Amino acid sequence: MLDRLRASLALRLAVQYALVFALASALLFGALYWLLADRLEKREQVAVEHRVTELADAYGEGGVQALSARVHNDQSPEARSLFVRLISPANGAVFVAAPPDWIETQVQRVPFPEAGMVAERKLSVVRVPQDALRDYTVASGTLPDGWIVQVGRLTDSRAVLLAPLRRAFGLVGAGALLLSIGVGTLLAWRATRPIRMLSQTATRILDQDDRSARVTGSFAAGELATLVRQFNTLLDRNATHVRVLRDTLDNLAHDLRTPLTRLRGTAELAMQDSGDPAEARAALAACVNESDRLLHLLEVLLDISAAEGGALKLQRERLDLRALVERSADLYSEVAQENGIAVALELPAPVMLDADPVRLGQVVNNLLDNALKYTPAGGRVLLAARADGPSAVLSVSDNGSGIPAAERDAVFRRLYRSDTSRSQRGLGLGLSLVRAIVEAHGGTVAADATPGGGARFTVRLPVAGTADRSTGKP
Amino acid sequence: MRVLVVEDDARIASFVVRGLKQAGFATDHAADGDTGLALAQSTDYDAAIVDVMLPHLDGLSLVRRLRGARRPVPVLFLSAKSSVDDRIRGLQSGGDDYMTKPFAFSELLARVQALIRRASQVPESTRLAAGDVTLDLVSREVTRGGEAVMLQPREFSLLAFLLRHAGRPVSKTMILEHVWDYSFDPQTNVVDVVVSRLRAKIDPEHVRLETVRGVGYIFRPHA
Repeated sequence: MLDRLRASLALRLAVQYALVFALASALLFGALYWLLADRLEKREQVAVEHRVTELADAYGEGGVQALSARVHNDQSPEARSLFVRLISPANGAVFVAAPPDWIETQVQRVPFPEAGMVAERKLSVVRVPQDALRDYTVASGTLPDGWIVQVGRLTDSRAVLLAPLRRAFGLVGAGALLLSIGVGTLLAWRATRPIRMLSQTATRILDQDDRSARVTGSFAAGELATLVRQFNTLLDRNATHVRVLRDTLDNLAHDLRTPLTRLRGTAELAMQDSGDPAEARAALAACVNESDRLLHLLEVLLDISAAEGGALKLQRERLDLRALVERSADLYSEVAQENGIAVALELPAPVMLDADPVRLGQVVNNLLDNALKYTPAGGRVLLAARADGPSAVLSVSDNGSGIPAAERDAVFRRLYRSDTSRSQRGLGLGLSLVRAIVEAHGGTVAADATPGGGARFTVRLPVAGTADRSTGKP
Repeated sequence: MRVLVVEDDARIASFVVRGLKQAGFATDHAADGDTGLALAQSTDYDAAIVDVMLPHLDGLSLVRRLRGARRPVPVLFLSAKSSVDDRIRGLQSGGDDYMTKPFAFSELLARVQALIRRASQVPESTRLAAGDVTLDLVSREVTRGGEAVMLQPREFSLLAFLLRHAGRPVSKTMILEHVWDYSFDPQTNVVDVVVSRLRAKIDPEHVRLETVRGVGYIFRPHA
């Protein structure tokens, strides 16, 4: 748990932000501290400088006596707290007045000004650290005759003065830092919840092979919520692909098994030498036919899978649906004649659309083929194409016995053969291919009944310009 | 007649070469594109059968280079891919015909012979005949045993196609390509339907226009 916490993105983010916050606060406090200390020091300096000027004036008026009198006469606490020393260049200290609470050693420790410094400037202030707690602020003034008057004051050291501030900052700063780490971690933990859920879901899928696992729970809007939704969509889509693939394989295996068994049986029979070469040849020819059938079955199944999986390459071009319908009717004219079925066309106006002519041709062919198969002799098949707003509509209807309502969706299923159609030749894939191709074009196909009870297949395709090339089933 | 076979699958190559030799062709075989190109550039062939998927140099590139070098040899592509797109690409790269695997050898042979005949550019006679059947492409008259036979347009085209290939089997796919102008097999029984109608008019005794099981049809000049 501790390791997890340490590795947690939320904590790392919170700590990083807290550190940045701490650094910024320290900088701010440093600046404040420096400013305050500077102001305090300036005040002391101004006070002692002022006194030096006063005393220098007094000295100028009446010499040492006047200066002494001035010092002794001013009994204000402010004045009494000051140390005064008059220094003669020849004889050293001539006059010393120390505040009453000073002891002798303290007086001795006030340093004499450095000769050069005082010589150059009329007035100077130095700060002399005395001990950890106190400092001297000493101002020196050079008198016109070269004597020097020193005024000093013992003050609390900067460190002592600003100690409460430092303490306050330390406390408040540490508190704020801890609080920010704590609250920050909590907030970041909450904010990164979708990531953890994502990771948990991925773990479940990877470790437990639970492919139905999804990220559950609702997340507010935002990038992570979008990520979670996309993740789920991705999983759904993958699941669909896998399912389609597995179904295809299952179907394929199932549907290849029967013809392969037949093929094998025929070949086996041919091998048993009956002594009749004609019989053997016939068996071999049957093998060839069966192989062709298998091959065709395989190709159509792959086409359907490709179309359903969105992998069918469509070579779209601008075309008139009527041309495809006419071509298909022409292709099947002899078959229709042979079956005694009249094929009528209803093509009143051009129906332009962007589509793959070969694939769409297969759609028309398969629908017509289907209609011709299930319409009894003497029947009638109508092929109609028209534009209907944003759709191109193709309908193939017959006056046969129709499709029972319960089977109208099922007829598009792969290898579906209704009870009535089992006797007919064919693979049971034609309508599946029709639907797969139509949907790959972004259209729909449905079966219903004509008013007369016959079957009617209606294909709706987006007309030219509105077709989205990428549209297709996921 | 010399035919070049460029095919990397040893089994397919072997049965194609054997079949062509039986049919009286001299054959050379190359198992990869580079060898095939070298052979095609150094020898004058009457036709070349080229697999699309080949090691080193694929069939399409091979033929493109051959055409770049102005070698006019007619080329038949073989491919395991059956999509229309591949077919078009094959023909665009300079191929003259295209067959998908698996194929019937008899159809391959018929296509190769057709390619060679087309390339030899012998002007076709406007009159086709086989046995007692004659067909005039211009007047569109058909006779059988001297008597006129009335054919519908598609029956006429089918007969013309069969007469051009008289004595050799033709596949349903070839018929669909040439009579219906369909570049892919729409998987219908229209060919069977028209063949049986034609048979009824031309060969009611079922001795000339025969079904070759597993291959297609053959029109025999002599019963």
